[in-house]
Amino acid sequence: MYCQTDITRDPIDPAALQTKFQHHSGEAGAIATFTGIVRGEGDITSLTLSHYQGFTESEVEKIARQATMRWPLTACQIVHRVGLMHPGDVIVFVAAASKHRRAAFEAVDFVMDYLKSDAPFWKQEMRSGKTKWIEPRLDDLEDKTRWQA
Amino acid sequence: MAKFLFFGRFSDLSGDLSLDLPDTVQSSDDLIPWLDAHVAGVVEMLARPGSRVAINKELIVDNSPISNSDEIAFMSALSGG
Repeated sequence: MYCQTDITRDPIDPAALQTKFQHHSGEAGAIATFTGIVRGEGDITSLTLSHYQGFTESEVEKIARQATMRWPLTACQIVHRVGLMHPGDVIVFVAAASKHRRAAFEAVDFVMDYLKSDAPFWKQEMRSGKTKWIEPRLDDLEDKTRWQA
Repeated sequence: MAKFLFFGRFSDLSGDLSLDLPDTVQSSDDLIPWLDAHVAGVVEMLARPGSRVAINKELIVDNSPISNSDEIAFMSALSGG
């Protein structure tokens, strides 16, 4: 089964990724995708994501593998950007393919909940020339518990 | 020498370090107070929600053995997506 994860400093092109992903989706009747974009709230000028090389890659792979074990997917992909980004830039692309839609929807939702609070990335935003660390919101932590029942 | 890496808020305390562990440091419980003397604020930062430690890229949950060739990473709350 196609299960691809990438951590990249390069811009992410969701349309190109989805086209390529569809070619790897086998007998899928459904593809669900999620594209996360850097929000341009207030006076945010940039967002810098750092990661732990080697460790982040393996933890993101684990999240993808968990999704493939939990739902009958024919393909799964996670692409996460690191480094300096600006409002409007794509920060993450997640795709899941399955025979029927429900598994694809749920798998993408699951992956995003775990990326939010369990993947080794650290966000620092720049506002009016000042940097601030961004940590998971309580909602992010609670979202993950939906999958632990 | 043990290699120390600091991520997220921990990177405000120190850049990456290589330090020789004394014989008195054999476990993560020994390590933390010893390291706090070199990098002030480590103990306080570890008490924040979501902080975690990895030894050789494996998260630890309990007291764990440490050797002088280990890579020890200090991480504040994770935040991807």
